[in-house]
Amino acid sequence: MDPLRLIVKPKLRAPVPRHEQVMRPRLLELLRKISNSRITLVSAPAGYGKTTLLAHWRQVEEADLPFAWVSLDEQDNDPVRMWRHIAEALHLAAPAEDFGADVLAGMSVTGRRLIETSLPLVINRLAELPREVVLVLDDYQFITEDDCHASVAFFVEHLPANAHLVLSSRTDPPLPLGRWLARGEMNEIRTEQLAFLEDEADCLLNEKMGLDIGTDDLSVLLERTEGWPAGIYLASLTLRMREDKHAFIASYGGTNRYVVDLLGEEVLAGLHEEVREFLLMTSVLEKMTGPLCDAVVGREDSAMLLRELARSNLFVVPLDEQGEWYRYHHLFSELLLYELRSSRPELVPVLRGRASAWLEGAGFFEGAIRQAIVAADYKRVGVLITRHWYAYVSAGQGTTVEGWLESLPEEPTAHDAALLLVRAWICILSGRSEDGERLLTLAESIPYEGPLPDGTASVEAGVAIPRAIFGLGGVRNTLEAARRAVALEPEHTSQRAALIRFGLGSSLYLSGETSQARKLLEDVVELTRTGQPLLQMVSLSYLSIVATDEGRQEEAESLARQAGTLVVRFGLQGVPQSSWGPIALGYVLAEQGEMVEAQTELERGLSSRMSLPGMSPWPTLIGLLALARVRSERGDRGGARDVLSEARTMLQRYPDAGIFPELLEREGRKLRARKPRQGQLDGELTERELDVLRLLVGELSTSQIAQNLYVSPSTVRTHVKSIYRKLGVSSRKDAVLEARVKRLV
Amino acid sequence: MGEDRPSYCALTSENVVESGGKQVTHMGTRMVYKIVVRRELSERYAMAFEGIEMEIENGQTVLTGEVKDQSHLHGILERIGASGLKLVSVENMSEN
Repeated sequence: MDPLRLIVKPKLRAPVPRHEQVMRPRLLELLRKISNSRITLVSAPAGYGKTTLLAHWRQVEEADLPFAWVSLDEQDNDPVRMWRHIAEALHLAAPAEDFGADVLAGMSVTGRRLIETSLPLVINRLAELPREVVLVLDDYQFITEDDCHASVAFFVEHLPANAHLVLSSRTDPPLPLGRWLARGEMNEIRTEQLAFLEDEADCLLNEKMGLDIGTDDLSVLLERTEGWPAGIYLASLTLRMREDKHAFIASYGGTNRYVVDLLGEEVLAGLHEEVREFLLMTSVLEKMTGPLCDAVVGREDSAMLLRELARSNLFVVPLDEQGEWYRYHHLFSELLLYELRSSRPELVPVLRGRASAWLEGAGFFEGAIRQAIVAADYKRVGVLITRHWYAYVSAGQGTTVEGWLESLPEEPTAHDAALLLVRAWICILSGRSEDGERLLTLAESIPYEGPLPDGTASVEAGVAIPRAIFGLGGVRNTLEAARRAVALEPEHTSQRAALIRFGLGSSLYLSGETSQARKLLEDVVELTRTGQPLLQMVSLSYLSIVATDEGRQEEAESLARQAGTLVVRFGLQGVPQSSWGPIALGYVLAEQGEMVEAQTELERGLSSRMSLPGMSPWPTLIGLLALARVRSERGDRGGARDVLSEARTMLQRYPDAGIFPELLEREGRKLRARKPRQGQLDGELTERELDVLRLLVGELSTSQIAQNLYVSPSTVRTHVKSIYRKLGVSSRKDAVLEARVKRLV
Repeated sequence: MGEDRPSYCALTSENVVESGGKQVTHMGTRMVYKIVVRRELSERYAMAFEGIEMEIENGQTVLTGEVKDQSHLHGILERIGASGLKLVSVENMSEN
């Protein structure tokens, strides 16, 4: 199984309405009034038929109106993940336009960046679509993160005329609904409208279930359940088993018992013992498939049983067209779980253990871990994490692993060497190098015998590898760590062979041994061809840089572009290490004399690295030096000077810097040797100062200006001082005024 | 009644954690809440809300119990909503 499946297809597939589900023309009419509104909100508690209604609507419109569908779940409560699914869903709805690829290419690290960069892309591409499109987000109640809500609000506010958003939720989402309603931009379908009316109840009970219930009885039932579709359906399941339906309805009409409580018991009691057992035991599963149920329940025919159940019971929901995966309707699984917990509580952890074991064996590591988390079997959670973490990290899914780690209690895990190593990796990858180094040191200090759960030979090897790869300890230490890793890790454990070769190769490059580095990096590219996309992307980029250094520019460009393709293909845009690709590309473009393009690429790569101060310095330094050269070539000596001073600052933090001090010296000398632009007097503002001045006109703070220009805030302040001096002013406001008077901006 | 009770923590919507319940009670931050829902629940059903006492009154169910903190309270309310129960009232009964 491929754990790199970042985007799960079933959640992007709209449910296919089933024959027994009641069509509701009056509501479909309401939905059709979408042409004059941006957003439709369907808000009602579970069991009101929201999903069914939307599935019917889609079915009715299928020929003329493409629908993009995302069934959200708790894991989607992260803006990048949520929008990745939306982009993919839109792509599925409009395949000819190849929607997803370049949209995914724009996704950034944090939710806020998402709004600035990726969403406008999505919105523009949507506007370009020749047809209208409807985007359905089902189960929106799982979304609780502010960043997610902010992105959705932004999306709605800027929605192009040909697109329409449908939010289906059990609760009203915290979005500016009132505003949208007032402006006539929103359609609502709420509980009151979704409650069954007589004709609909009649359709379900008599037409679909063939129960032959009279009008009076129908009214009683309707009144008693208050039109709650799930309640009526539960009643119909009970009625199916009763001889005297009228008597049942009469007595049911007379009680005040909560329908799920009363009928749930009845429905379950009325089942064949075997079936009941099956339902109860499988209630611990989020999703079910034949072999998984077999493992949990101890049968051999679960697949057949599931198919049968789905045929006769609307509460068993098929998740795909092949009839392989199913789940229970939320209310039904609640009922079953509750019944299981009250009748056989000791069985629950056992069942979850069986589920977790099967899921792990089948390669569904996330599912396996979730079962262990719910069962509070933290020991198993720890084992699963330390066994399978690397597959996710190497696919750029560090945040998933981070989520798992967060579910663990503080105490026992603080002394688990294997877990400490995983945490160290996660920290370093997300730019928290100090924390990472601290965790590595801690891991080292814990006595631990033998190999780690993920197959690494020892804790020593497990610590040496990230030290070799990220190079946070300075070049000499990194090379030492790389050699140590080679010694500690036997050759045949190939999963780490690539990492170890990369560590050695990159530290050799940083030490100036370019040709030795090349051989090793070529090995890494070979080894990672069938997996480990993140490492493959980084090594392709590194190899590209080596190729540029050795004068093989065409090859270098091809390698760098391959790295870029990997980023898009595997959705690595949200990972800071994806900055390697643009840096490598900019590096070779600069060499080829394509200065404008080079500058764009380098600045792009550097911007994400600069915003995370704890990133590995080496790719950043490569990028900075190349950018200095490019700016200098383009006549921006001030800009080049700024970049070199940034590099100098970094070298202060990392004094043991291999080839860089000399490279920096060389660039500095070249820059000084260039003649300054003609006609620049002391009183005139330099190009750089002009750049800063232009940004002073707006609302940006010093640090925002710094980010914009890829320099540090103190550099900006130096420029500002010089600007004030030259303009003869002493405040920002005056500087802007003077600038306008002198027509400088 | 005690022996029959399943040993699990209060259920909080989808993320149910079934553990022996390492409940940490901070003295002095005890809150007692009275939650009224429409319709009558069986005692067995109400047992899903651990640590909560149940009483039937005029076709409604009154759930009273100690609530650890706001998170706990919201978890209970979410669970009620997710079950399709109709909330009538929520009252803080703590003596303060």
